[in-house]
Amino acid sequence: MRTDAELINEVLDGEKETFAVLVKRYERPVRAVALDVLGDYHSASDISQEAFVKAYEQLAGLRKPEAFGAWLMKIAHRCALDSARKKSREHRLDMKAAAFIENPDGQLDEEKQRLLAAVVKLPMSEKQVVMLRYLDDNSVKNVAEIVGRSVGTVTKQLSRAHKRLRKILERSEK
Amino acid sequence: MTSEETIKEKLGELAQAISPDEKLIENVMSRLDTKTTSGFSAVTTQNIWRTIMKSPITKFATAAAIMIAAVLLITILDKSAAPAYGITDVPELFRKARAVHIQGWVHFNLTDNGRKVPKAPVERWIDLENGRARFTGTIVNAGPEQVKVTIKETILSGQYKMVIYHGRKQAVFYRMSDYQRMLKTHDCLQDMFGRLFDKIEDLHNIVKTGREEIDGVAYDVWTCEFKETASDLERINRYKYWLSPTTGESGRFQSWYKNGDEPWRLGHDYYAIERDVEIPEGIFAMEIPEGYEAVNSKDTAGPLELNEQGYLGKSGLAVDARISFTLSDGSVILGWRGVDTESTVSTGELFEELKFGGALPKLPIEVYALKPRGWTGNTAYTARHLVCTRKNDEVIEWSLYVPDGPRLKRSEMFGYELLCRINSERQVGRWPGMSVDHGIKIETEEDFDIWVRGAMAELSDDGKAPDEVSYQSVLQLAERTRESLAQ
Repeated sequence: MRTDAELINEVLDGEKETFAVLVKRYERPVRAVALDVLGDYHSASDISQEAFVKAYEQLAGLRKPEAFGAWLMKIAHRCALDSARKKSREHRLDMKAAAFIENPDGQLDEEKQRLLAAVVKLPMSEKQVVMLRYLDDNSVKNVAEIVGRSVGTVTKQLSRAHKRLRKILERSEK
Repeated sequence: MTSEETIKEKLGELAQAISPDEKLIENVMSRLDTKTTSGFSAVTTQNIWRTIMKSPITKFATAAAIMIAAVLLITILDKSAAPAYGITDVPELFRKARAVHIQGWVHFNLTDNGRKVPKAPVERWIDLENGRARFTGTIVNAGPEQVKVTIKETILSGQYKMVIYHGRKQAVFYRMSDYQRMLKTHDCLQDMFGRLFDKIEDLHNIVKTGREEIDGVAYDVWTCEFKETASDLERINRYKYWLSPTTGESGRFQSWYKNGDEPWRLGHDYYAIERDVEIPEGIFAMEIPEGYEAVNSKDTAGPLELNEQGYLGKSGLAVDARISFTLSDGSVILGWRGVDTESTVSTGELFEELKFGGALPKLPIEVYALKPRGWTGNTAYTARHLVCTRKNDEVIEWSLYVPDGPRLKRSEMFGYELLCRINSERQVGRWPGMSVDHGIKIETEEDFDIWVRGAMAELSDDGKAPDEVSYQSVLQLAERTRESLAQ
């Protein structure tokens, strides 16, 4: 498992195709962030594309390649907010409603939406490991390698994130 | 109370609800085709033409290719000297060559932490008889302060392509068909000599400016200067070509350039330009250099797809442009697909009633016309259906696009913009811009059979091109279309 930092160095070395590995690694986390803001799958997918392209264009300015995931998710969040601002509130609400009705698999019910919102609210370092662990289905060891932290650190961060999520969800249920 | 295990379970369920989107990767990578990372200009030998148009550094490299191309085709001769070999003889000499070798340097107008970036070697071996090639490429990562130049080498031979990355000491293999190998070898020569052949029409001032000796051999020195066209740079290029009037041998080539009031700078300097040279044994051998890591092997190499022009998707719709060709009359052939990536309904029936020369299939997204990219006029290219081919459950539409105005020179535009129409109920919004390059020039029936029919065969399950498509039938269709547009 190559670290984000290794992959980024390779991309900056002129190997554009390597960026596909990073897109594959982060496409679900990035879509999740966009989905939380926008509420519909197509818009989230479009904005995810925008976020990846923007990240690629700004890659040379990333000072800490090991923080790529967190940085990328910030970009995705900003892109999604910009997109949301461009739409009227009514339009957005319509789209959210339509997404629940029209989505063929009927995913993202209210409970999942609440959980996703809670994940997005996690501190950046915890959000990154949760996204990689669950949305990208990586083992703890793989997550540790990707983000360049020790297995122990990642385990602790996941544990803290679980507790934090539990509290957020319990609060929102009241 | 929500336990930790429940949280994990719920996170797992959330993950299920956000399923992987493989198309997103394709879409992103397709969009990156025309992008470079900020502050950097990545130059690779792959897809060099697109990169050329984006980067000042590679525009400079282009100058080298233009210069040679210019020298090859310039029509103005100094008749008074009446040499045995003039500049106009050079194209034919290269056309007849069995093998070509070019060696020299590329210079960089860049500094790395205050130090001038050293020149990098350039070398190409092209075995035209057997369709093999070995060539270097420079990868330039240029930031505001730091610059890193690394070299990679590509070898094309038999059913394989091998790329050696000297910067990170790695080698990668790819499998390729005969057609693809032929195409890549052709591109290898074109990158150096011919991609911008028409550009020389702008070079009306090439003159013999002197005579010099190199290693005891006398050469005429031919020089020309020209401005970049279709560029926002105030750049002047100067080409110098050393040609022996007695043997027709090329002694040297240099490209220089000048931005505004800046001094002239040397770009490329080729000190060996040889035709029919004996190719050293082992030059096309695919051996991994000692100390290099093999990322894969010939046995595990993945196939290269014939996909020369890129893929663009948005909101479940995608245009997959496979290959383009420009015919002698200025019309264009494009092999492409227009797909709904989320639909499981076959588009096969849309092709059933189509006629050669008729309307295009009403695919979910349709490339209904082309427009010259970088051209400020109103010329548009009207589409006619030629044929379709099927490969691996995909149907490729082959369309002819005929300009409604005078034929444009290649130097006047940077390829073609695809004008797309959405024939689907999907809410896509504004379709992003997408373009393709000129592709190979098709000047003769033989060119057509090799390249166009060859591509159709490559993209067919049975490996055969449809019978109804020939050079003559397509040119006649273009003529009829032009007449109808004029009415």
